[in-house]
Amino acid sequence: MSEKTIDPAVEEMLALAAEMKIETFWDRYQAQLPQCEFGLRGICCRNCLHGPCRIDPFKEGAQKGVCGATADTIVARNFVRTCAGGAAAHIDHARHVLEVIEKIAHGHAAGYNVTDKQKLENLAQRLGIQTKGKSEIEVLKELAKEVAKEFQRQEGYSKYLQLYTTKKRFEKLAGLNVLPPNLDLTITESLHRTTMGVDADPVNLILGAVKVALADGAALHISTDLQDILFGTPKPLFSKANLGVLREDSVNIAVHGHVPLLSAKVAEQAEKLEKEASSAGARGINVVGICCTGHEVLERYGVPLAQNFLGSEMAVATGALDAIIVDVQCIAPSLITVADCFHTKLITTFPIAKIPGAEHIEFTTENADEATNKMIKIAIEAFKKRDKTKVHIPKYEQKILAGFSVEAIVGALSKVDPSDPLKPLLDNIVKGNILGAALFAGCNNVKLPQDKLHVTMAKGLLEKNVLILSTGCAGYALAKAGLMSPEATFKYAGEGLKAVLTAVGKAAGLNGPLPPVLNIGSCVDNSRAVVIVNALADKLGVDAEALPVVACAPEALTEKAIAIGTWAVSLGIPVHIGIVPPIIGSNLVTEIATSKAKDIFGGYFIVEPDPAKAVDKLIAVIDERRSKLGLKTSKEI
Amino acid sequence: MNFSQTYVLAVDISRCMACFSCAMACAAFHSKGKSVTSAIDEGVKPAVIVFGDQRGALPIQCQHCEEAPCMMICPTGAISKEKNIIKINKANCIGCRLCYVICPFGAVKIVEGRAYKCDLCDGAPECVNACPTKALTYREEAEIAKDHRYKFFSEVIETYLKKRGVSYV
Repeated sequence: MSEKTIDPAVEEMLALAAEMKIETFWDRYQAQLPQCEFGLRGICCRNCLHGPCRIDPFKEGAQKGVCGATADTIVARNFVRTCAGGAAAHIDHARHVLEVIEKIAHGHAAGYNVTDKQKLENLAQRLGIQTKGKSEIEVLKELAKEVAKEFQRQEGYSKYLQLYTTKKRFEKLAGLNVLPPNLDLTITESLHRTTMGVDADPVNLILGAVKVALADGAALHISTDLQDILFGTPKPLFSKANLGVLREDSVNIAVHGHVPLLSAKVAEQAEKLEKEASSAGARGINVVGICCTGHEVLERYGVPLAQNFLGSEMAVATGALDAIIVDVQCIAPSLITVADCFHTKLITTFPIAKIPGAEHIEFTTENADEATNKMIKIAIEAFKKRDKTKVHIPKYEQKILAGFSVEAIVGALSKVDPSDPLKPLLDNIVKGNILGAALFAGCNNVKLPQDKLHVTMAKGLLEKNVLILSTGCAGYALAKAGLMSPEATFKYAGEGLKAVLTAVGKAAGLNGPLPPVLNIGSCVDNSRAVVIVNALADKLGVDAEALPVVACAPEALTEKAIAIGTWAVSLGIPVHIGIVPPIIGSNLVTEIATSKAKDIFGGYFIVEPDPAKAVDKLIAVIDERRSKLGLKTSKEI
Repeated sequence: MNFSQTYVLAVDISRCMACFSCAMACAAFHSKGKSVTSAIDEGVKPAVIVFGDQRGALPIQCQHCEEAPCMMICPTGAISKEKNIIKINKANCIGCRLCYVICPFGAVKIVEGRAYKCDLCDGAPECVNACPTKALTYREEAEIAKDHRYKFFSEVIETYLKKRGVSYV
């Protein structure tokens, strides 16, 4: 295996890409080397035109920016802006989904409707809306109004955060003055406090980062909830992962991006246009997923996963994709260059995300059906022009069992104990059959071999009976590595975990064990993990910081990953990352992130690029928490 | 590796962006852990000094002089010439700073009380690899002179031919 990837399909494609002189992420990374050390350490400030100001890490030259900002201030300010960038993406995502809910309620969204009525009613009730005797439209209207307050409230606290944090945690966060009144406001505040001459106190700035990260978390919860209402709450279903899911005889369409408002419509319209595809000589239309939006349609419709971020170019390089339909976030601008080597159409859809050379078809709530219909027809036309001699589909695919929403997990557990579904889970944690749980989230990063940390660490933790949940690009990595099938439980899970997964799987009528990695969805669905953690904490009468749970974003890349990680830390969950973040230019900020945060929040960042060492560190964290709860540690079991 | 007398570290001042990549790579290479972080932890400083003001920047380092004043003035014989590289033997350095004072380029640093300067990374300078704009090169001196001569020649000949009304494509 190369230093670039551990995915055999991507490895095979990279060799072909090199032959075809297709430039890849790895080529461009090489061309970027050496990267600027000021940037890598976070000690470059460009927030005013006096700059760029740089702090000499050797302490021989400048130790302050022109305004007098120290390395601590500059690093902390940059960290706030990183979190704000990530949060902005999720908040905008959440608002977009809310807009559709609002438009359905007012009859302006013909292409959408409510799929999970139960979830709508539950959420409405939890938000304090009286649902009895009201029509679905009435409830929807009130729900939209109530959720809209998350973007409008000028005073007080985000109700959504209150809904999704334990009482203890909420009080702690209120005491630290880090609870946002509304989500958008935190972005404005973050940019304001970090502009020239405002906040210079690194500790206050870090608390500002926590505040915007909490807004990010609220946006994840809103997105998941509303998407479940619109498109249905995921249930376990079988599908496949990796480039082998592309079909030589079909119109292949990749959905890439994050917002299911688009991808769900593409999946739906594709079914309607099957006939047109066959008259074009295709066996049918094959929709596949790249990045988070792939999870959205996998979890609900069983759409197979093609590739995660670092594999996105290689999916196009197969020459088998007729169209790649994108919305927002993680869409590499390089895709158009690869698409131009083939017949592949790159279609952009959102007004804030255009790519020169791509075909732009504006996608709105009102024209959802027509626009996606048009996009698929473009793909069918492109299929006719596909050059078969240029098609190369690597024959790698893995069976996966996905769709594990909280409702699905609780549903499976309730087959074991209908009166108290969480009891079997807790009992097994107490007994040590389940040592703890780890959420694998986050991206691919070209600085590490694609998927290597995700897969190596997951195998290491499973062996030690740590149950794994997954989202986003991490989910793709584990799916492609064959860790998401029921058979994987026999292969990778430790004895205790194997027994539990087999018992629950059988009780739930799955004809076999649950997979050792439960895929809970896209990056916004990290919210599902927090719902489970909080439910367990509530049941035990403790806070998340007491539970033997960790989060890992070993191949973190985006601002969103940093925002989500900071949110998890602020909820009391230790977060492992395998990439050294640009905070090491300040000893103070590094110390806050990696150790002081533990005293304040219970959660903290663990930076470790070596997968074996990272597993040891995470097991040590889980053991530490187990022994505090009076439970046996991994060494005593 | 190249220890040839005729190899020189050359700077094209028009290409220097003052990014400090040369300085960072220098410190990293001379640290045990081979990274900037370990250099900071170990107290290793860059031997390349990116010097300048609003007019521009110039990476300054030891020129490894033919008749090195630092070597001649060193009272303890700590500075020597090996394979055309001027080297400081730290064990013999007493920290008198005579080399520091006499270097016409200001290329000697005092680090933890001892003289410290560029050692050309034993013939394969890391700063050159690190330079993102190729402002720093390590080449045959004859090649550099040839480049300069060619550039000068081109300017002269173009002017001359233009005056005569002749053009070559």
